[in-house]
This record gives sequence, C-alpha cells and structure tokens, in this order.
Amino acid sequence: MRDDPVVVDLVLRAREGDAAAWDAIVERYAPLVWGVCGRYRVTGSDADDVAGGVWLRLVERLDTLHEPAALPGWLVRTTQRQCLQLLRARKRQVPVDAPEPGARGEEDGVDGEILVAERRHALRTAFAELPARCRELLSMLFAEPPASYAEISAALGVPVGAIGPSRGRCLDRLRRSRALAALQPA
Amino acid sequence: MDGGDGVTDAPSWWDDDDRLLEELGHAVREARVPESFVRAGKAAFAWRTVDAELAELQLDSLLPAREPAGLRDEPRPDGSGPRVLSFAAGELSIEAEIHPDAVRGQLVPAQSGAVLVRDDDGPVREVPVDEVGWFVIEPVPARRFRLHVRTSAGASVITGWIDARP
Repeated sequence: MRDDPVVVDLVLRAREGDAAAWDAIVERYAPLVWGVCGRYRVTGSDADDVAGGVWLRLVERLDTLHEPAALPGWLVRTTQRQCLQLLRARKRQVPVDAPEPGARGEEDGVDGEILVAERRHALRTAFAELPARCRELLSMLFAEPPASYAEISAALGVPVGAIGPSRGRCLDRLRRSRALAALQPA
Repeated sequence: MDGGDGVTDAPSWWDDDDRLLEELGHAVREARVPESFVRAGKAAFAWRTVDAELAELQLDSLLPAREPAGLRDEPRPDGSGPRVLSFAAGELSIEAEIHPDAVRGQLVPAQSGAVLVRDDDGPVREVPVDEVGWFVIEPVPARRFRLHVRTSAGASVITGWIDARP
C-alpha cells in the first residue's frame, strides 16, 4: 500500500522536526531494510553500518522526497546499493540470488520487497490486536521448531482436541482484522 | 475456514491456514531486528537540522609549508609518520591523522560529540567522539570525504574535502 496515509503523515511530521515521527518511521521500516541486507548476506555490524548510511541519507532526503508514499521503494533501492557497495569494497562475492539494482526487472524486485514488507507489517499489526490466548497459541505453533500439541496442551491448559479448532478460530480472527482485511483482494 | 465467501483469486497465504500461519511466523520473526540496528536509525535524526560552519584547513603535512618552516610552530614531519591534517573554525580545531588502517582524530579543546563522514554522495557513517575528543574512522574512506563534527555543547562544523589517497 504505497499510498498509506500513516506513512505520508509520518514523513510530513518528521519534516517538521518531530523526532517521535522519525522513530516511528525507523521502527516500521527497520524490518524492510534488515530483510534486504539479509538477502545480500550482510549481517551483524555490517548491517548496522549499511542501515546507518541509509537512514543518514534519508534524513537529508526528507525535504526533497517528492512523494512521501514512495519512501519504501527509496529505502529498498538505497539499501540494495549500499549493500553492493560494501560487498564490492570488501571484495566479497555478491550472492547469486541477490537482486542487482539497475538490472532488468529491478522494479519487479523492488515492488516485490515492498509488497511483502507491507503484508508482513499488516500481519504484525493484526497479530498484536488478537486476544492474548490466540497470540500465545499461534506463537507456539509458528515457533521454529513448532511446539507439539502435547506441549501446547500442557503450557496453555487446554485439551489436545481443542487445539486444532482454536487454531482455526484464531486465524479467522486474524483474517477479519482491519489491518489484514485491507489486503484482501476485492 | 478457507474463507469460502466467493473469493476465488485470493493469494494462497490468505486462504490456507498452514500458509497463513507460516507467513505470520515470518512476519513476527522478521520484526525481531537487533536493537543496535534500530538505534542507529533513530540516532540519524540528530543530524536533521544541523547547519555547519566551515572549518578551514590549517595544516596538511603532505603539502609544502605555506610559510617558511622556521616561522611555524609545528614540527615538519619527516615523511615517515602518518599524514596529519588540521582544520579550525573559531575556537574548535579538528586534528586528523591518516593511518593505513584508520583515520584517527581529535577535537581541540577536548570534548565529546559525533563525527559524520560524508562523501560526494552524501552522509556515509557516524562515529562517536569520546570525552577526551578522540574519534576513529575505520577503515579509511576509499573516496574523498569531509568530516562533519557535532559537539555535545552544540557546535557544528564541517571540514573541507580530504582525499586519503591522493
């Protein structure tokens, strides 16, 4: 959702010097920047350096960003470039599956990154609004490795036979949430 | 449970319970980015409204002395030590030594703050300045750069361009 009014509002407020709005931008898009770094196998303090450079650039670009809604795309492209620069400076190999900025189909790659990031942001928002029982249950189910029904039964004090139906009800609640419903195809 | 209310072209992550749960797991885990990663991003905002005064080059040990050596206080380097540069704006001096592995610098008078390394493309990275005014930029920037210094007392100055490998 590139025209997300929340993002536009945050950018406008940050332009006015609102540090809380800036913090919210960083918190919201740190997973996006982190995810791009991961696809270039840039991790640890290298990832901190790349992200630091990306955010420092954004601070300067805030006023000239023509479309605040274009922020996610700008973040993806800038992070890709910074990762490549770092890898080349270190003479390290660029992972074969990492997107090459400027290559054909770049926009597909960028749009894909943004689409996934927005979907996951919506999923997190919807998940945070679920009742605590649902959050506990789903957390145990999507853990790596997932908890067994016996473990869940012991931890949450529910019969094993009730776990499957509860799982379905919690996921349905997730689908019906406002954040996720916006993503549902019409 | 499969959202069978007429939605036929919905993405499978939406319709299928297993896929939705998997995607939710990705979403929640992905948000667990290291705190240092987020902290660096938030700190960048401190550079938002900083207007900097230009710090003039006072000394570059690589350049011939601009006045007879006998009139200068600084000892002339004999070429074996690191290249030394000095910039000044008002009362604040920025001394920088270019070593093979790093740029080591100091603010005079000694005080804490932060240094932003900038190149032709814009800001590159930020390094801290400790209480005695020392800072380290490691590795040496590959391209020409300038140093934007922000002191804890609120002063903000920027050096001219430095080419570490002239």
